[in-house]
Amino acid sequence: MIYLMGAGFATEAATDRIRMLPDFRKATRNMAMAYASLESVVASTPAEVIRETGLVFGSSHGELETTKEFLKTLAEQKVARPIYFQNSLHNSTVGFLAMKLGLTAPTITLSNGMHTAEDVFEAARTLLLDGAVDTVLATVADGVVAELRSVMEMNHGPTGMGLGEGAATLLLTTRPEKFAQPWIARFAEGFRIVRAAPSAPARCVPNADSVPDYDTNLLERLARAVNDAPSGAFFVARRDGGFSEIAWERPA
Amino acid sequence: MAAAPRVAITGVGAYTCAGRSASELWANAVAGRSGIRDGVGRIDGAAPGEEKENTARSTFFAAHAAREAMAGARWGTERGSGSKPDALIFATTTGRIPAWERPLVEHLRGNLAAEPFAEVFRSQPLSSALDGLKQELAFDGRTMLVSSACSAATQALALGAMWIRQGRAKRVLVVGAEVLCDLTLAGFGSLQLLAPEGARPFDRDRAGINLSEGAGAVCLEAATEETSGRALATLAGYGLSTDGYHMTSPHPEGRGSFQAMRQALRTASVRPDEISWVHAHGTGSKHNDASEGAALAHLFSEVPTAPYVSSTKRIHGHALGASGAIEAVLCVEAIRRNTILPTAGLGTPDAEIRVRHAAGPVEQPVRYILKNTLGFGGTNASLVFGAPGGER
Repeated sequence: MIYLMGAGFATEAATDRIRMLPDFRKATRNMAMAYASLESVVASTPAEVIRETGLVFGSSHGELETTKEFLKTLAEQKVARPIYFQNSLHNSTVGFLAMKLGLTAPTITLSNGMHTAEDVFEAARTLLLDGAVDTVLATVADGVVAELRSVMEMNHGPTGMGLGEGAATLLLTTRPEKFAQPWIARFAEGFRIVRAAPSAPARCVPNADSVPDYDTNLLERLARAVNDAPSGAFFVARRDGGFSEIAWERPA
Repeated sequence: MAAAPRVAITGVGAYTCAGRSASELWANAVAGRSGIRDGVGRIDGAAPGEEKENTARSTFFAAHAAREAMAGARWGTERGSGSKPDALIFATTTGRIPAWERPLVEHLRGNLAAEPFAEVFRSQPLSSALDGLKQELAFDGRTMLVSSACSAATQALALGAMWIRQGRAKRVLVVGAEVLCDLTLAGFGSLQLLAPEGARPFDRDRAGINLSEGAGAVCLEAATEETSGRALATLAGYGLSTDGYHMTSPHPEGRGSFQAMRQALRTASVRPDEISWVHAHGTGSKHNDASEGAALAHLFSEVPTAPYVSSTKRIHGHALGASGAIEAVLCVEAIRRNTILPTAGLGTPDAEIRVRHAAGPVEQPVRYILKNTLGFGGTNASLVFGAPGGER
């Protein structure tokens, strides 16, 4: 059984505040958004638990802003800037967060387009079931690059999603007794791939105004769905035509 | 509670600058023939028709390695024939970047309009490379794409093993693939990590790494009586850890790497003195080799005769996120052939790195191999490979 102990989402205000902090001077937007999403979750978790917590991070577009800056600077000024390069990797955010939080447990970076967030949940569950760790931060972040907005919008058109940015974190554990706060919900199983839309009542929280329309917003939508009903199933369409479904229950 | 299934390796495949198949890569590694030219491991001289139209380079490499591995495992490689993997875990950090990195600059300069650029920019998400591979293999099951820098494929193998041990999959295909591109060549250059000639891992005068491209593929299966006749090796253990120390440099004492290796031995139920060989990450960079060497010296400090430690990066180069898969292929071949490879390019060992080097290929029974990777972001991953039939 996997227990949800906390959830956090990045807001624009929190992201902007974090980017002004001295420690975040060299941080990318993904790093700041990811930190904004997990700040409150981490604050309510004992420090000794966080040190031994795993981190699974996912981003569909990765560090596109810094990749663009690196390539542009290289082409125009014939200068390869190390800071842009080190921050251009998909796992730069993981490296940064591991340093900020003092993580030494497993950290994994994933990227699988619209399925990234689902994979993040599944990889977190895999680590928990393996026993490698008993607590995992499952975090996603995706940003928009202003100079590439029109092109990104063109490519998002066929997916049915708009183009937004955001970040979300779920704190998952197999040991809820280690926490002071009660668990929010629990999952007996992970995401199950089904070929047809679920017949039982299932929730698919639309990309309403409250959930920014970013590629990896599934974790945020799942957390909001869990908050809306004591038990149920959440499903999401897959790009191969099938569906993924996950069921939860809240404490009685 | 039933014991977790063991993980058998039933097929391997490789497509590298030092060999277009697992056996060719092995033969070149034993002979010390390097695929590195002018400091990089580029796969060139492709035969006509090898690069199919609309098939990106990374997908081509990956599909080639995957087909070889699946054929070796006697899995079906075409739609509708033979056993299929339940899951495909792909590892890459570059994906299809060569398709869009230069057009991006042209677009930003105003030389390429939005619409034609949008067409190539669809290759930006790494998942586009995975989608291409799925299409090539006619695969429609569960997928995952790991992009944890140089530890990506090693982590992918660990995740695949976990899925099998947890009963969530019976057959997992793990593929790592990378392509050379402006971003990584100039980026590693900016960090002053590139060797101008062939890399010299663990050497006193080592001067950096050789970036390369290519792919490795490994077929993992839940070990059964049926697989016992086909198993080439086992994936006996895995360990993942994080330094939390620096964005690009490993912890100087190898703290995280030590933790990953110790965890891998623990999950394999193997003692340090049972390790026949360590296939090191051994990039040839000052910091990596010193850090990994410190971790290895610590791990084997109480073993009377420490195992040989080698890096094969001089042969096939450093294929970043794919390196774990390519080097896993060499580990499996070493077990099959009971032969330990030396560190190609090693002249004068660095006295500060207290590990045991092999002067040349060593023929001896190979029971367990410890495989390491260390990645940017302080991401460490270690695996233990075992000879088939010798599992605990």
